[in-house]
Amino acid sequence: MTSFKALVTLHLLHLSTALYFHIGETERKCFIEEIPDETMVVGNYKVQAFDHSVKDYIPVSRDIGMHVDIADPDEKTILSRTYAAEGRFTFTSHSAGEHVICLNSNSSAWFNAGQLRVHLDISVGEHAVDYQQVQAKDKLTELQLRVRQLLDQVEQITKEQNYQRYREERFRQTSESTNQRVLWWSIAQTLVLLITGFWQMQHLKSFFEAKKLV
Amino acid sequence: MSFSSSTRLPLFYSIDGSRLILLVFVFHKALSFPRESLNIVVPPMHNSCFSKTFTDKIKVVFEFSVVGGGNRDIDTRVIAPNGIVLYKALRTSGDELSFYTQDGDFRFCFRNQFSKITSKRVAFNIRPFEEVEPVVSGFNESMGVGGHGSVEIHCDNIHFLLGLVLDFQAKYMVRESSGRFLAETLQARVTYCSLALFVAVLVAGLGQVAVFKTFFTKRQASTKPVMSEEVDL
Repeated sequence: MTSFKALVTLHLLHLSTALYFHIGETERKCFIEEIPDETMVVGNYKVQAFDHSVKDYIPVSRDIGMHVDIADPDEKTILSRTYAAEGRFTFTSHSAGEHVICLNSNSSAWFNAGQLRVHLDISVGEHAVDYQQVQAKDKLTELQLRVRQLLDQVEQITKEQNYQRYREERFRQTSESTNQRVLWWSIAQTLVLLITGFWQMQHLKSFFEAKKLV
Repeated sequence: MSFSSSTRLPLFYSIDGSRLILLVFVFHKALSFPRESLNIVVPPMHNSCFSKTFTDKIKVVFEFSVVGGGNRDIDTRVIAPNGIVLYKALRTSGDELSFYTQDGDFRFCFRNQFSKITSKRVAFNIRPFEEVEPVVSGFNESMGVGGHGSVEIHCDNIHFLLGLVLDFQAKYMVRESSGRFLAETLQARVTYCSLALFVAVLVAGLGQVAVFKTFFTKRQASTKPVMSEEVDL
């Protein structure tokens, strides 16, 4: 029980020291996560609003929520939900690539000019796993848990390397295509130049002959 | 752009396993926050700031890299809690710096105000200088360092080194991203440039002949009439 309490406080402490940024109440902020497939992403966030009487950011009392939109590499929405002012969103990627996470508050326009402070922490892959919970659920000994964590880590590395290989392949394709284009273009350009020059000569020759200049 | 890991790593090459264990535990104590790593898009004429609250004096590394957009440059600023600008770089494509924190909120700002059309994609991370992920947090407290068996210690080491591997992978990912962006820009440029050249060569070729022809027709016409026409040429 005490360890659970410690965990909860640790978690909250972590979020309060996480990065934060300011957005207007109608503004939208997007983050890109480039991740391999079958990777879990967990985002924790907390919204605070500027209070003019206290001159500081305080937890929102009004019913401001966060709308979270997540799009996969094919720009298909995989998550679109409105959460409370403090919470967590989770998703697992199905295809490798750039996932775009967008946050905006759900407040309507008549609230305008308000500034919000958003604390955000995004964990990817093995970092996103809560091992305390895993231990409690699967009744693992400490050693088993450590080995489990190592396994997860190795798996994450494998996935990332696979993804890296795929990206490298795509990169090489782009480079090779550029190379091909440059090559064919220089050949084509030389031909065009030769043909143009030849045509110029022929044309001018016949022109001069017709004008009786030569 | 230099990577701090390359300066950190040689430490481990020269030492044996037992020393490494010691180091790991020292790192455990020094650890104060997990790495923050984000990938953002800064729209044109915009300023995007992120803040982080620190409480202790620790050495922190801030690394950023413009992955894509325009000339891959951005104005970056790091501002200390007392308002002093710790770091300022105008129109750079990436850098890495370390500084000591103090109690308060540090601001990290990316400014794309000079750009009128292109938005910039920036990858950045903030991490402790001596970084290691905590093995399941709470272990050291519950067991004490002396309570660890050798298997656990080995697990810790493997965990630490795998963390380094992940770290490197993340770095290569950013590099690859910016490399790919460059390659794609190059390809687009090559395509448009060759199309433009194609048109230019044709226009020049046809134009030359046309100009040449008019030149001679006028010449021929101007041989007969009076001198006043010569002025026009």
